[in-house]
Amino acid sequence: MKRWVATTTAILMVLSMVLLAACGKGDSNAMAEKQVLNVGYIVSEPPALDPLKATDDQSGLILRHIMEGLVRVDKNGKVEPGMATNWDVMDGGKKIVFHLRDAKWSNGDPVTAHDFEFAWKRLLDPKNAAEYAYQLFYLKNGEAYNSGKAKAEDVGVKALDDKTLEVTLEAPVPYFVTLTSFYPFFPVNKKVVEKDPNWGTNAKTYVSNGPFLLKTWVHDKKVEIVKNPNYWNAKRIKLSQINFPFVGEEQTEYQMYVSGSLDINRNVPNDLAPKLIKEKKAKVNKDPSMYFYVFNTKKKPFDNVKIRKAFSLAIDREAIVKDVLGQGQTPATGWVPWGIPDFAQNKEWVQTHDPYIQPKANPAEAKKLLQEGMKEAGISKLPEITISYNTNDGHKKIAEAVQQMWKQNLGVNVKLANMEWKVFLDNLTQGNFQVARYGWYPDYIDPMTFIDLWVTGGGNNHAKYSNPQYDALIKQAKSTDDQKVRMEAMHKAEEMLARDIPVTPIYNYTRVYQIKDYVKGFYQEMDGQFNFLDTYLTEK
Amino acid sequence: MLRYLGQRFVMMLISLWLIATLTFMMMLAVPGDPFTGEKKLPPETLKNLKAAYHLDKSYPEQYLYYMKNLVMMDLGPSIKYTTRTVNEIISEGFPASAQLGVQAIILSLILGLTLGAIAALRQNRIPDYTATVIAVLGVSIPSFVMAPILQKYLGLEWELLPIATWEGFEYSIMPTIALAVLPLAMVTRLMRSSMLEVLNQDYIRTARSKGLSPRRVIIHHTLRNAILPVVTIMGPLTAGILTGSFVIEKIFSIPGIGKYFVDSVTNRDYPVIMGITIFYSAFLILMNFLVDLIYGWIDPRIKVGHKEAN
Repeated sequence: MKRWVATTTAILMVLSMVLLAACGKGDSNAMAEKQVLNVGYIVSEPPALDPLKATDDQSGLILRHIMEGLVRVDKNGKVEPGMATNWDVMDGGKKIVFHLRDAKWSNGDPVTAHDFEFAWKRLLDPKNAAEYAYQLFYLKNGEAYNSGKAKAEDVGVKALDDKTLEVTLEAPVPYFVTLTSFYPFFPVNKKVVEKDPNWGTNAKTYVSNGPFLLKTWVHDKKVEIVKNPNYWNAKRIKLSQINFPFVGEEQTEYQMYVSGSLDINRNVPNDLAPKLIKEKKAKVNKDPSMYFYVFNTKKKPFDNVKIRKAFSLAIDREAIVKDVLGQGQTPATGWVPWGIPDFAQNKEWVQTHDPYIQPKANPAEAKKLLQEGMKEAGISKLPEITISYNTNDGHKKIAEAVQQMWKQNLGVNVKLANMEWKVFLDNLTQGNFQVARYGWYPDYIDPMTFIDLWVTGGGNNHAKYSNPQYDALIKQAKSTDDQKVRMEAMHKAEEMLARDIPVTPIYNYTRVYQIKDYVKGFYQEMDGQFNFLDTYLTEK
Repeated sequence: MLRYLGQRFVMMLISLWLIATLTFMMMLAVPGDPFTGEKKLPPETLKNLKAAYHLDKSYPEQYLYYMKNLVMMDLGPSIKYTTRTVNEIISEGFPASAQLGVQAIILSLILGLTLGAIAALRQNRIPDYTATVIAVLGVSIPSFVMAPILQKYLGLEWELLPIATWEGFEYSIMPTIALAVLPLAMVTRLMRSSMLEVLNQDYIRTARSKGLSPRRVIIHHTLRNAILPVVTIMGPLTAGILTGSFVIEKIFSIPGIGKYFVDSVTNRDYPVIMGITIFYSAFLILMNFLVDLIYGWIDPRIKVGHKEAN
């Protein structure tokens, strides 16, 4: 009998120790055996995985994992070597020579400087009609070649030998090296592309040089990528496979995430987001993008600066962010959003100046300015005001809030007009609006991607704003690679925008996403893009 | 009969041509083009793009170019999905859409006919009320409400079926149910009322008084006649399934062509708009033709191709 008790006790003790050990293991960062990540991010078929044709976020996410440009950007926004080990900036920033490492394409060919030269010229070739050709207009004669005014040989990119790439720019661009981490600058295998122009349309013929390889691409269904054992830094990569099923519905994706068939969910439904954030079931990241209202400065009554200012002051941004949005957004304090650095002071741009805009409305000042403005414009009664926006529930809610604020703070009756997206854009381009919502996200991480929007005649200058002093400041900033001079000029330009108000910024965007606890080493790049290079899974 | 078939075929081609031409005109009349975007393209890039897709030519030239290719069965490249052609999009996507549609039709027919027949035979009794409730619910709950409810319970709570995506038969069950609900309700209601009508006909009374078994009366005399109105709505029913699939395919992330119907318009992806419209139209026209043939086959009194007889 005693022996039986002793045996049982012993067994129980051993069992509990094993159990304890197992629990302990779960808490630690022990890697799971199966390193397969399921990502809910891609909403629909990525339009293209050939760097020549890709122009969107979703293709970009896959591309930056299966391909690699000259450099990469780490989680702090710093440049780290990619295909290039080092580079020399010369000639006041107008010439850059990149030195390439020994690396291989997935078919075994070496990655050479010729592949880069070929890829970049291919993008600029007018015959190829690449939408993102303009991303390479920094290159000497890039724009000229794309518009048929120069030859391919004149373009400022040249392979001096297999391992050396010489790049000549039109003007100094201090962020050019960082730019080469962007997918239009990715290389393609010259031999493969020359033989088969459709190489990039399916997984079988796809040849890449990145940390992962394209394993499966079933149209309208999924993309699967697997670790590239021949990647130069293969030891960095811990995931063996990443699956991207295309889930077109936010609610569906959310339910798949809850059920465990997805480890990350990028498309959190708007109506659930505030609750999930509060319950710590969703995370919020800064998105360096701006939501704003743009005034038509060529149309009455917003051709008067005081009236524009009055309407801007009458908006309670704090209320919009808190009561309407509730996803961690912050009221805008200037034209450049959060998340964009000031490279001269090494701080976030928004922290380097006093706010130009207050979070709360200022009805008294707004009313006074409206009266003054109307007097200046010689009108006793305001014409009917209409806010235009593209059909979307979020835009509608904000427009309704602003409508109410303008009514309450200025006593103005405002109408709302919603339009289908492309009809809306058409009206904006043609100047058929008084005040309209818009958003802007960065092409590259530098204040310039926001600041130069309002130059006279600019393609996206829907306000039709024109100020020679402002234009001169932009020109000055673009002529040098001296960060101090650039940043100073851009700060002055932003101040000018705050005074002239062609546009009234409303809030800084956020990205809400969900991620399971067992997913480690995940980060978002400065532009908000997901990066899985250091990601691994621990035991669930 | 052959002459009739020939005539119908020519009529079908003419309808298709009219649809294609009207779609082409309306499509170009809508503001915006494939290259209108948040960020405006530089003029030279835009020029290259328009030239690549022949959009720099005049409208009549574009129309002729399109029609010429259409005759050769070439629907052109997609402008948004730059590496795919419209032919590829349709041929790769249609099998999934077709599987879903066929399953939904079969389900709604089998269940609908049964429920409708039972309801009529047990008029004003519990089976009848049950069928009526199902029919009313089916008509009034839209599929985009039905689908998430199914996903929540069958998928998430009870873990009986996968929530979404398209990896095998079990993935197609929920979308099939969601898609079949509306046609199922329609068929049930129609079957019930036409059954009731037939049951009151003189020939049924005759059949019964002849001493035929109730089973024989129902199967050979009632059902066959009651089913006719259901066959008539098969055309619109198929159309309903097709349009319903736009939503269902999106919610369940099914790699079909339904979503392109809406997305292509949002993207102003001209070749895809044209291709999908023409494909669906051809399909519907063909379905209506088949229904006419089946109609004549079920009811010998209707002589397909002998209009002058009336």
